[in-house]
Amino acid sequence: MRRTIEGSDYPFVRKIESIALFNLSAEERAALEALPVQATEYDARQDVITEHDRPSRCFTVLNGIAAAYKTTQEGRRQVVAYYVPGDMPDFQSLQLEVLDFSIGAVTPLRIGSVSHNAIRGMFNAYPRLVEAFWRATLIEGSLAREWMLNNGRREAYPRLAHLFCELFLRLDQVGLVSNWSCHLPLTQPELADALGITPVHVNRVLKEMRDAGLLTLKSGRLTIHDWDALATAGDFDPAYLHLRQTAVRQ
Amino acid sequence: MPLFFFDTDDGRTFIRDEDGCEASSPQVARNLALEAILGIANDHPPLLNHCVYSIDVRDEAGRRIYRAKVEVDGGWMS
Repeated sequence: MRRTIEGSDYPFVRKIESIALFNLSAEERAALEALPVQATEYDARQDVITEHDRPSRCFTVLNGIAAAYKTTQEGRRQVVAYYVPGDMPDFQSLQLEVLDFSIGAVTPLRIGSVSHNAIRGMFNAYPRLVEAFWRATLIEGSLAREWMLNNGRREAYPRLAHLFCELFLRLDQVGLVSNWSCHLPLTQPELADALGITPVHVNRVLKEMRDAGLLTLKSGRLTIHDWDALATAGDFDPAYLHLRQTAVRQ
Repeated sequence: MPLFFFDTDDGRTFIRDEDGCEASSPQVARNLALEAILGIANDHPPLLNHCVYSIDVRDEAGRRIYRAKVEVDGGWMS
């Protein structure tokens, strides 16, 4: 399903606003809102683009959660990043023609895509916006480094706690957290692919966290009961997210 | 898909599974248990010379259908 959407409150406009080190001018904001965005919907587990594609458009997540992943030759899947509303998962395709990873829908997903030409035109007209988008891609690099540390050196319990802390703050940044709760329908096999452990291990650690009163993950909702304890368990320091404003109290 | 329950013991703490994991058959559930047990052991190296890691698999009817166990038995040679 495809249709063209117009609107002034794309999560990605809010995201760029929250990332830019300057306040967007009315013209810059208008230019972002005027990008010709085409909306497409995907079912959970459907691929949006796959490794070796040569996209001519970039997209942003409008609703749902997407994953960037790679697979080994035997078909073992490793999620390398999650994308929440406002994120631009394949923004790099503007500079790197051939995609080096796949992006799939984790939940029912709605994306908005924009042609590379439209983005280049906007950058030519409003060069200061390049800095905001550059900053967004640098932050993605920072997340990748943190994931490497998390998956490489933390035990399963802090590893999962850390992932929940990250996703919770990122969802909060785009206004998707209320009452310490957010929609997060990640299955145990999905979490296992993100953390590089087995689903049975995820199952065990989730139960431990629930028994410790940290959180519940039920019916597709994550509710955090004790943020401080979860952040401590996850060895979580949000500095790597480079958030300018955080609604959740630390 | 049927649910199977994996009660895990990492040599310190026994955790009874109340959520279950989906697996298409008992054989697949067995494979999940065998794949998981070394990961769990790796996460928590033995504290004492003797340590037993185990996973018991239960089916939806509550029957214990499979047990995987890894035993570490360390001791000085002299």
